[in-house]
Amino acid sequence: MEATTRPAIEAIGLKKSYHDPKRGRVDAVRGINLRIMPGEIFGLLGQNGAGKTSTLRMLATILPPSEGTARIDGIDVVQDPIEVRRRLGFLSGSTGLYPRLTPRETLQHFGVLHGIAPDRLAARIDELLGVFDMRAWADGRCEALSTGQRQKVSIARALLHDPAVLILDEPTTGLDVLATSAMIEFIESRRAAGTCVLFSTHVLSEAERLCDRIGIIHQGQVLACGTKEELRAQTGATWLEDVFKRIVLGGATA
Amino acid sequence: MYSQPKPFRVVLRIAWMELLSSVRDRMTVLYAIVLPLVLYPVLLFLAVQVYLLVRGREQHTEVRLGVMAPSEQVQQVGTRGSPTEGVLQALSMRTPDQWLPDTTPTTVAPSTVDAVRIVEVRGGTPDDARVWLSQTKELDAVLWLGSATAADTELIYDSTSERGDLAARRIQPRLNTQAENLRFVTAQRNNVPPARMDAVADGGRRDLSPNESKAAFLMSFLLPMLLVFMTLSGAFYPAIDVTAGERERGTHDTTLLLPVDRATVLQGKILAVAALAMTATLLNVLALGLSVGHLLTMLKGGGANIDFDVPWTAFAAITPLALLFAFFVAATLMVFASQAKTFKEGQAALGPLQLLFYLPAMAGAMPGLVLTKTLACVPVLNVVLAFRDLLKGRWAPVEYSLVAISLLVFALLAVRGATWFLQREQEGRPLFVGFGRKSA
Repeated sequence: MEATTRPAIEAIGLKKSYHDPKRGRVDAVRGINLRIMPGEIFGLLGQNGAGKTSTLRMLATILPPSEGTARIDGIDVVQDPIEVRRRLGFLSGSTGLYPRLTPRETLQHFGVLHGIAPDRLAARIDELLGVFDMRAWADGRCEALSTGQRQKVSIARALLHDPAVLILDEPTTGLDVLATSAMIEFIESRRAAGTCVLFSTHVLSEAERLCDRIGIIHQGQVLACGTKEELRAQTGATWLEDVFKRIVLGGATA
Repeated sequence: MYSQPKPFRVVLRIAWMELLSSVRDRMTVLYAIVLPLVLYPVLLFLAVQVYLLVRGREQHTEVRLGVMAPSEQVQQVGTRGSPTEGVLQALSMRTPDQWLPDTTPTTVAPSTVDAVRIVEVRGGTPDDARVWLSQTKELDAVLWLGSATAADTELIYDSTSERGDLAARRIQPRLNTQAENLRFVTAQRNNVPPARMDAVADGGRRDLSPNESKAAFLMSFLLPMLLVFMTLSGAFYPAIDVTAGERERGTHDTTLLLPVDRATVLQGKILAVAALAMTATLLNVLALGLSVGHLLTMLKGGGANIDFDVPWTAFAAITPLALLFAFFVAATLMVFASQAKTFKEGQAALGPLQLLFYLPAMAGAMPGLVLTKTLACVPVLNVVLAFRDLLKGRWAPVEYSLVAISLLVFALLAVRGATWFLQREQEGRPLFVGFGRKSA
């Protein structure tokens, strides 16, 4: 029973402050609350510098929160970050591939450190190589791969341990049309697999197509959160672009 | 959910991945493997070639000598058996039985190799000889023959002039040979064994140290310093590569996502860097040994009196200390390299740090400095002095153990320090904010 009612991602009053040598104290995230359920696809929409990446990095245990707390699959990100990482798949522009390893070695490395048994790991790697059509170039170095191929390896790396939660930070940035399309199809496929997906974007069409719910983040705060219909009803706008503008420019708080 | 791997297995796995990655990097291979292997053979080859070139040029450079003596001695030139003629003959490197009665002062050079051409024989005083050399550009040296005995000679030359220096180096041994000949003849005349006269002439010096000890003594200055330099050289590039290099390549966050303790990840990286440092050191010592061995073989072939074996016992005894030292170096370098954002920043940070290792390493070569219980606790200097003692065959178990304990403690402190820096950074409080990152 608990598994169905417990949120896959939960953030309560999450804050992040930096000290910048030039600007002094910078409040990147100013008290974010989120509650995302298993099997849900949640989009975090915001302009550049709105605090999306900092929020996702805190949830992925890459950054420690300055204040507040967050839980992934019921595990506190500060209390037990290792267990959080075992239940999480994270993908962003900053999670590059080890250039001198091959895709197969990369998956092997992550699989071993996730504690996957050797025979099971071999089968899982083979499965992922097949699913993402990577077999032909699985033994070449990652530094020699195209952007699209690298993206496939990164996705395979994030899915290797079959995580309950996927966090994707602007997953289509820098991708060409075909690779973007493949990424969108991949995110959609996760819904069917029952995985909770939280992704950030500033591409409204992606959010429109993929998201069950959308959170609009601005200056480190979530100004609005709900389904597309709820947001339209809240703002009176039809197009998501207008919804976004009215919320951000109007400063409405969820 | 999968079972969590044991920390030791994680360390090994991380180290393996870093090593695999490093040996596929051309720069790391260059600094940690190729350079240590080829440095000494190439240096030796170049040194031999340069020596041969310089020696060849010297051999084919004719030295121009003026001879000055009291006027009455000048008259003896050309008279067989006269001391003056004897000296002049000696300059031609001929044995007495080869002396020719009709030899004239201007034909003493037997060939164009190592030639000494006597430009002129003049009568005069020692002061005249000095003035003659300083005023005549065509002369490289002047030989003053003070009396009727060949031992009473003075070679006047200018050591700051290349030709003058060459003249001195070429003429002096020939004068020594002539003095030897005269001693021999005198000894025979007086019915005294020539060796007895040599002993009187040389002051009775006798060196009791065997040749292998002399070689070990020389090695004891060179090898300990090399151990430090090569460990540093082997660790330098990988330490930056696995820290700042990782940030630059955009894989830092990927590593942070590994579901393991980050201190364990760091320890795996330190292990990889230490392994590369040790590899560089061992390859370097091997290449040095082979190069020196080849050189010794060449010298022995040329008739040199050399008797030296590679001190394998000392190498075996220093290996555990070298391992601990490599860990210490790897962890220390990574403390600083991990604060850098880019490879360039890493190089800038580690450059000055290297001096902290070089200075005690060079201090370890100071004459009279020996390994004491106090010095055994001074990092870098302790490993240098311990290796020096071992090469000289001195075995001090207490000091040696202290060095091992001290290196272990310093290595652990360095690992702990690196972990502490890492934790600070992950908490958003990097020590060096000026390196470009933000702190909370």
